[in-house]
Amino acid sequence: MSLIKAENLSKTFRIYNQGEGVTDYLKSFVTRDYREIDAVKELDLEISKGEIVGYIGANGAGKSTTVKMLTGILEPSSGDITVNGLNPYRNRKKNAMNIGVVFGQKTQLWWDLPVRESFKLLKEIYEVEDDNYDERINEFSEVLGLDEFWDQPVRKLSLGQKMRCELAAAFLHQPPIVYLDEPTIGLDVSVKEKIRDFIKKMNSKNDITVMLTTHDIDDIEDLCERVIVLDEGKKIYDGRLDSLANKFSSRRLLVDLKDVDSFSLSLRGVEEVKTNDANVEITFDREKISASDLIKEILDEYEVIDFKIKEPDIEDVVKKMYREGIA
Amino acid sequence: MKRLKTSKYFEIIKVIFKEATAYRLDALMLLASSIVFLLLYYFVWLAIDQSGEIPGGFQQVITYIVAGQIVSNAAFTQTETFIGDRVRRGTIVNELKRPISLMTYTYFHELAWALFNFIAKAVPIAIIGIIFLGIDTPNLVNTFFFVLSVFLAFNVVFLFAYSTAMLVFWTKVDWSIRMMRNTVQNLFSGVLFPLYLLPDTLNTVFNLLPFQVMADAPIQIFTMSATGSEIYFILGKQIIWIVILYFVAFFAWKKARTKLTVQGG
Amino acid sequence: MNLKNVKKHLRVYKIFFVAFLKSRLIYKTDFVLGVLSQTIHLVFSLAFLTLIFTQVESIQGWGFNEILLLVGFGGLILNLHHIFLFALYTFGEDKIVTGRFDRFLVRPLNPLFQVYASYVSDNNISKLLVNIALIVYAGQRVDATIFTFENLLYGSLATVSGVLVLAGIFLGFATTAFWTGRSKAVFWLFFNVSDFRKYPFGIYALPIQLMLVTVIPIAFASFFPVTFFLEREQWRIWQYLSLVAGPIFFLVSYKFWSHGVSNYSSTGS
Repeated sequence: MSLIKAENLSKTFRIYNQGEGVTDYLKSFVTRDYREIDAVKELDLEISKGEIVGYIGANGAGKSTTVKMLTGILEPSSGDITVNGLNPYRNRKKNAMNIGVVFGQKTQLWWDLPVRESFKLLKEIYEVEDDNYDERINEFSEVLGLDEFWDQPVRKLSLGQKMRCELAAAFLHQPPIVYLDEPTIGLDVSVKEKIRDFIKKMNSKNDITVMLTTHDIDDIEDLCERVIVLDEGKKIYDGRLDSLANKFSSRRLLVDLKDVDSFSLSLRGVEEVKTNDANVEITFDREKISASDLIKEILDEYEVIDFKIKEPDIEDVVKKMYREGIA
Repeated sequence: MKRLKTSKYFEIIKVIFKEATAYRLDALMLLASSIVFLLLYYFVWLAIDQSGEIPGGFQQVITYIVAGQIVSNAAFTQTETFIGDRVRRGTIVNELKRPISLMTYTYFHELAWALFNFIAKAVPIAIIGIIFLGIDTPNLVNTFFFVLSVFLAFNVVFLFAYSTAMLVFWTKVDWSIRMMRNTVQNLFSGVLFPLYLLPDTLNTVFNLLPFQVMADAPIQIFTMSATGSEIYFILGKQIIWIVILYFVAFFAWKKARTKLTVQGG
Repeated sequence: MNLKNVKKHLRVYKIFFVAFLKSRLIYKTDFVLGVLSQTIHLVFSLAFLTLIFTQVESIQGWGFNEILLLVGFGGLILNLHHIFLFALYTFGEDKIVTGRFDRFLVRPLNPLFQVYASYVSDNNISKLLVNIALIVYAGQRVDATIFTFENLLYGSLATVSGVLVLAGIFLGFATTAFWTGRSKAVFWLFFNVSDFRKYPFGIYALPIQLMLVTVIPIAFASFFPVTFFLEREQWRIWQYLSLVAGPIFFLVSYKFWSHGVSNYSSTGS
């Protein structure tokens, strides 16, 4: 029984050229010069109860646009959506009772009020019963450590503290579906772990369906069994994570060399070598060659000034999918 | 070294004109607000003229009011916003790291805006006043000295606003300070109510305050109520206030700077 | 729009209102400065009016005390509106550009209500008290008897309607932010136009009078009701229109707002 179902979903945007000078500004009142962008193209989506689905893709792939359509914020240009049996755009308020949303760094709490008051307001808005409320706040507090800053105004919280509140706020009314749009962006490892534990708990204990949009590969590997990959508005993969696992093994090594031009590398496991002005960017598969072996090889051959290993990147995953074919 | 400095200041002016195009809706609305202001008081003074007798007549009043708008649109800067924004965002430290003093940098920033406002708002107001409201225009000599006086008025306003803007380092909010200054300034400078219509005692008092040279002084030149040597007297008075307020601003700035270094951003 | 829903909105608002005011009192400097600057502004406005009346005894049959009553009553309506409904002033910059409005669309509450419930203008509370004092002061000094039951009844209804007129104006101005992303700038224009309410309607040329009863109908939220108190019969029709102007104008504005919301949903800002 699918909880979320989207058929042939499309969204096209018009970008108007505003121009810079006064004449352009005045002209814009008369003529409208624009171009059209297909953010989402004929997307089919089906998510069942109790799943945690990873929704990934490069920046601008259309992920946020999809989530905005599923939550009823944006009206699709074409296609059908059914969430919990309702059309989310036409039944926005009704649908809202049944969903929780976290929008990256945009807080849903009241800026000037203490956290405590924000939750009081949310309790009222989502019609949470008193005993359920107390029970849940205690439970959430335990996992997320909310009592540290329960009485502080949201304005004064650090990013990590704010995000913990956001998660708690999204799950407060135990909606059947929660959309998480970049919930771990900019956070340090310990907070990320707390948040992932919380999500897992909510999903296993209460069967809450989670649609997770993220750039963080560790998030996906920890939480999702199923991933949907979006690229330039089109779905290019929808299936189990383990089938994709080898796509997630790319890493990047940045090396500052004395002599960049004479650099060449042909080792097993090296996927791409890009020379820039001051450094070389090497994309390699960590399953085929370890970072330390790779660095050792380069140090033996060249004069290295500095090097750095970059965080795993979704764009590499997508690139690899195109290069090697899906799964 | 001098050559290098001037090009730096020219850069600031270029930046302002770029800023200004981004805020063109704001500029348009401020101009429209000024026009609305003129419309309102055109009718108010017309009604007063019909019910009573204004010393000097309606024409003189309306010329004064329009001149007031020309001056205030060009010379009345909102320095507190400049400082306040940067204090709140914490970027004030960047401004302090520059090789120029904050006061100098702010001055040139506000001067550039004053130039922009003069062209974008003051001049259109003048044109509207002449064509639609039939105000009297000054002769060539007075026009020249009027522009000079507006520039001096800008300096007076800037120094005063900069001094009050220093309070932001203590209060962190700028809008209330700016509002208070504008309220007091608008009334005492003549922008709201022509100073020459005041009862004698009030007139004497108002003329002792720095606000009079912010608007009433250049307005007198515009309306031709000050001619010949009287103009030099007005300009002299403005310069005296510039000197006095310079010391006030400098003192306020020193106090603020010590507070900053003690507190650390 | 059922009763249970309305009650829910009211409960939410009450929690927000109390909590917001409490949090404002923590920022004493901010609060004190805000009250101070508004009070000074009001005092100087009155000083200006006093100066105007050094030039003339009455303007079109309105003396100093009549004008004070006009300023006080119009101000009262303005203050009441601003205390609860001022949040639209920063709608463009604070809700549209930042994307905060998306959050409002994803909650089971009316989005406009949520905008209102994001700010309380506590500065206006002190101004309200001053304007009430002004009404009491001027009301005792004008020719007509102001403090009658009939006036109280009419005044209450006119106040409600007046607040709705202002709400409609604010809503109309703020809705433009769906297209421009800015709202503060257009409101500066409104703040200047609202000064028109302080003077007798008859002094203005016809085009302006038209504007003050149609596009920016503040005449219904100041001048006409006060003519009722002052027993000026020639404005009779307008005095009664003032009681319905608010609801009608607000509904029209709300339609415009709804159009703005659906445009936002199709263009994605």
